[in-house]
Amino acid sequence: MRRGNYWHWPGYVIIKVKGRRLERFINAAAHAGVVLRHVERLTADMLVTRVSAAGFRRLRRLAGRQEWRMTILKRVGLPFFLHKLARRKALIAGGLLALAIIYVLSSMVWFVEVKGALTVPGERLLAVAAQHGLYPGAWKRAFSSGEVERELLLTFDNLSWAYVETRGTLAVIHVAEKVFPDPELTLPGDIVALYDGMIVEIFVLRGIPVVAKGDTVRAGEVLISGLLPPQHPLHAEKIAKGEPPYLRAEGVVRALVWHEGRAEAALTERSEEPTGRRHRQIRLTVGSRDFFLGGTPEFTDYKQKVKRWQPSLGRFTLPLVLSITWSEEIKLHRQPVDEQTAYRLAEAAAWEQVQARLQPGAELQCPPKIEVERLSVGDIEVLQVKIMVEAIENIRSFQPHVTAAAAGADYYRPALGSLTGKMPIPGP
Amino acid sequence: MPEAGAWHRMLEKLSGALELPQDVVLDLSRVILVGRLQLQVENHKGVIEFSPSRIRIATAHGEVIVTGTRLFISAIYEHEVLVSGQIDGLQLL
Repeated sequence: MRRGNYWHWPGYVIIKVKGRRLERFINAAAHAGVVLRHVERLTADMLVTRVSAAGFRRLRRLAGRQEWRMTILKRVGLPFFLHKLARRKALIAGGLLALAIIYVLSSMVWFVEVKGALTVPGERLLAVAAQHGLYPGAWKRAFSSGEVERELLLTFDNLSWAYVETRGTLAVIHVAEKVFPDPELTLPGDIVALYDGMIVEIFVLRGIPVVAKGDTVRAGEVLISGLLPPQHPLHAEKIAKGEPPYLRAEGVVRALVWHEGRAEAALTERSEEPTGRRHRQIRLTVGSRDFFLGGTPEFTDYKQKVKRWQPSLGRFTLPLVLSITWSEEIKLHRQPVDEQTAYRLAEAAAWEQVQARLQPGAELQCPPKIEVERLSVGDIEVLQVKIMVEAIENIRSFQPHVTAAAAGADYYRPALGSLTGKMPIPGP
Repeated sequence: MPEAGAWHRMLEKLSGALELPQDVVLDLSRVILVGRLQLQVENHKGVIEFSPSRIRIATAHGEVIVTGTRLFISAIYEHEVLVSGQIDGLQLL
């Protein structure tokens, strides 16, 4: 069925038909294949109907031969609208100009953003991109994303990936930076003892061992040296390559060590309670003389608060000091603490100290030795707990010959391959 | 016309035997009434009378007469006519 709001696009006309025997007009139109829609009989000699623009032209030929007069009441649809529009040239020109402006403006890059840059300054990336045609105000066709990406990678050594994405008038430069190994992990150096102890086992991965099983060492003493002696075969090899005769020593040195933890807990608990009695004393010092207002407090136990003013004239301070002392009487309470509670507290604190010193994988050699002693600190009695353990553990501690910062960036870079330094790599 | 009548009966029998739609074989008109709002006549032979209260449509075997108020022809094609408005009566002559 050909119904509905079908013919707005091709366009139609609303016509008025006047004449006699209008039924014959309707039949003639239907017979001629012209579709009439919404035919309304207004009077005996007049009807109103809608017909397509093409149908109307055929009806006119049909009506010309008979006595029917057709008048167009209204033209509806796109072709008529366009026809009307065609007469308004300024409007069309304005519309076209607006479209052209939108097209031109959307063919340019207006915003450039950088994403993913952590250490490389975004401004430097933008500057390089601008040199190769990508800047706010540039034509999208005037630069090549591939070229900008390539130049960014060539200019900045610490970029591993670059991608220029254009979304409308926004260009986003995505970059990913290279992750360099921690320079401290590549520096040459020695393995030194972390604690005093007796070597039980030494396993050298790299470097020259300087101690042997059974030796007693002190904390800080070199255990495995990273310095190659002249008689060592690698020494000559390194020198021949133009490298310093150093290694990064590595290994495991297990030693019998002793740790001690010591902590105290009070056997009396002190608490203060204000009695509510207060005292104020004002003291004026002029030169070397003191003038008091109010005597000294007659309290046994009290807390004091002092406030002091010294007037000055610009940079000169006057020899005049005013100070006020507030005293508040307190009552001291002493309460004995259960010895077991005090022991528990002191033991826990002492253990914490021992455990902080033990290395991962430490093996305790015998039950810990615990010593308990009652001590007097001032007028308070305390319980002291001393814990001593004997353990076998790895006492290796790496000590670089020089720090990465002192060595400089170039020290470790050649070891990574073909990197050539254009951009400095930030120090650790 | 006895010849035409015989021809018609023969066609009727044939369409019955072959189970063909009779409106197609016998050139009959099809009248569809949608509530009291719309009437569709297929295979019409033209509009005989057209006023807002009465529309007469010719068919091969007579007339379809529609009465009502504010009647109008919503569309007319060569073989189909659609009448809309408030339909009060329908008569087949």
